[in-house]
Amino acid sequence: MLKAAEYVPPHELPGQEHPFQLITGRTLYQFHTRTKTARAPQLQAAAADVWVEMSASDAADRGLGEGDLLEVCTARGRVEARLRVSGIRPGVLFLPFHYGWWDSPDGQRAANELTPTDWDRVSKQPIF
Amino acid sequence: MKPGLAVEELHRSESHLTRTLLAVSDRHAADHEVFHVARDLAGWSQRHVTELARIGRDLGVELDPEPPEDPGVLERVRQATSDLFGRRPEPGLLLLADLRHVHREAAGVSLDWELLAQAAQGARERQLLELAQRCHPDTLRQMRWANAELEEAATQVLTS
Repeated sequence: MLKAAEYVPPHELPGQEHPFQLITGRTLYQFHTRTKTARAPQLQAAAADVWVEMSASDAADRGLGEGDLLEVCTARGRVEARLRVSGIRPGVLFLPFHYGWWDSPDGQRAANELTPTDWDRVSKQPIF
Repeated sequence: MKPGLAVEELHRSESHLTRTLLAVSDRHAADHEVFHVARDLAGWSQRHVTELARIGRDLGVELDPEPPEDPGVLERVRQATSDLFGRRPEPGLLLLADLRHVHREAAGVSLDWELLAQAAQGARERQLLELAQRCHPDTLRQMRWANAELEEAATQVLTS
């Protein structure tokens, strides 16, 4: 059953300090925080470390190139990641959330630290 | 004129509901759902307060168009709740008491909208009636939210 709901503005919008929208997601080769898939050498080699995706126009505006090390930060935390210029929509960044500390104790790479704890009040779907 | 009275009363009760929702949000900041949704719902009441002040002017009632932000009155509610459950209330019980309070306040606001709509209909105040028809559903949703949250939280709090 589908129920209509009114539009509710997001609790955080891009601004001066944080000009991008951040989305997080998966890669085909890893599952969740990789506690199993990182132990399969082929899968681990296929996607060994975190990266950040940015549109070609956003990268060009900032003089950034493929493989540059970027710092992505929100009010809650930060991640350091190599840039992949991709077909993502301008104004949006993507980080995979598979990478954390268990196999890299010093790394700043846990994308889940950056997202707000907030979900849809009806479906309980996280908003990020 | 009497519809002015209804607008005045509603302005008072919506302001109060705003403060209640903001205080409940502050008090349960660690409960992310209550924190965010109570703030969103307070925004609806704040909007109602502004609209009531605007329409009140046409009826000769001077009302503050600035919706409340400080939880002054709520301090007293917090005190009352604390008194009810002891000096350091169990957070679960406090949430139940707060949601119950939100529901009762929203129910009062809902009745006030009903009264305003009746007055507007009787006095053929079309704009006033339209305002009531637009805002009253928000109040009913505020009530439903408090009720649904109570249903969700009550079993665990009261049986553990």
